[in-house]
Amino acid sequence: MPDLPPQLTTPLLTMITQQSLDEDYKVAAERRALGDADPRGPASHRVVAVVVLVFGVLVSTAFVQHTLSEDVDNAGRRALTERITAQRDRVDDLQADIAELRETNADLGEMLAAANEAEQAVDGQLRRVQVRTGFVAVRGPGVRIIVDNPPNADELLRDDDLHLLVNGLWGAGAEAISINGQRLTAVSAIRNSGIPILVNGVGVAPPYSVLAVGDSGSLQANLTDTSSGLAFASLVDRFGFVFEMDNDGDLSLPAAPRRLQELRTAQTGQAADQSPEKKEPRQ
Amino acid sequence: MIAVLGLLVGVLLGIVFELDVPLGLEPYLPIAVVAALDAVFGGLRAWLDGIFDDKVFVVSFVSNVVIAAGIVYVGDRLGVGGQLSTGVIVVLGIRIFSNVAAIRRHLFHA
Repeated sequence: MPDLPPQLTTPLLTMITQQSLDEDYKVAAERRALGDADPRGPASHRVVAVVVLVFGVLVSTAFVQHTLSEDVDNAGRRALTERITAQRDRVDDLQADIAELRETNADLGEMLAAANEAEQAVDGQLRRVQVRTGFVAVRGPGVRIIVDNPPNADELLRDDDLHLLVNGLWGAGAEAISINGQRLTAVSAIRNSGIPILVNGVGVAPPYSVLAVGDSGSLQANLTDTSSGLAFASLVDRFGFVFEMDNDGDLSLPAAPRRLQELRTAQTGQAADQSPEKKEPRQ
Repeated sequence: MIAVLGLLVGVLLGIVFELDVPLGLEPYLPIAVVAALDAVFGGLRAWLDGIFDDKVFVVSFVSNVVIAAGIVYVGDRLGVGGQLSTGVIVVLGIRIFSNVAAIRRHLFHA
């Protein structure tokens, strides 16, 4: 094995320790010992002093700089900690809010369910009232009645006669009635204008087709039980009017004309809502 | 004597003026300080050994600072700045310790 230079055989740490002093110093000292040293003046000492001064500035600057940045870091950390705490408090508050809102939500949900029930009840009521008052078109089982003037006679059907029939149907349990396509409402009128009969202000011509929606099983029988129905039946007998009554499984009745559905003077609402001024009659 | 005076004045100057190091140079200042420390202790030991040479001291000081900072800078560019500065610190630290040990032997003859 050939001899290797010491740089290769010496362990790294040992070499570092051995060469901790710059070898240049030894080299310079050897050169000086050989006698070729140049004479040194005080100027070189000044250079050393300047270098040491620079070293002092470096050390103190690094120290100050590190202290400053440490302060900044600490301030930043403190600010972050404070923000974390504040945000945690906020989260707590918000969670409390969430719980509160959940409770409110549950309460409101119950109220909504109650309101829905009430609405359904009112809806049903409204529907019944609308059917009775002719506000909506209806279809359903009922009776179809054809009445006509008697053939070969001078007697004509009058409004009073139709009144009797319609009153009898209402009394027999009819829920909706129309005459020749004119739906009867709470404000409908059946009256004579000369010879023709007006229903809802519209002239209708014989034969009169009276449709009544109701329980088709009992409507016919009930009609003969009412006094109006009896009176009309006796009129039919006396004057020989044409009268045909048949059950019909599927009658279709239109809604009343819109002009009858509008309220021109009356206002909806309860009496308690109205102010005294509105109650005074206009002069 | 004049060197000790220079050190004191330098430290005072640094503290009084609180020089602001540019942000880009900030990571290299501690390394430069450690390298300078090594040069200073090496010079002190050489002085105690009686072989101090001001020219060698000045050159070793400047080259130590520049090379240490340069190595770390290159390491930063390459993405191994942390490892390289650790290596520099280890080598310089060992040198400082052995120099200080030699100084101690000179001062206390122990």
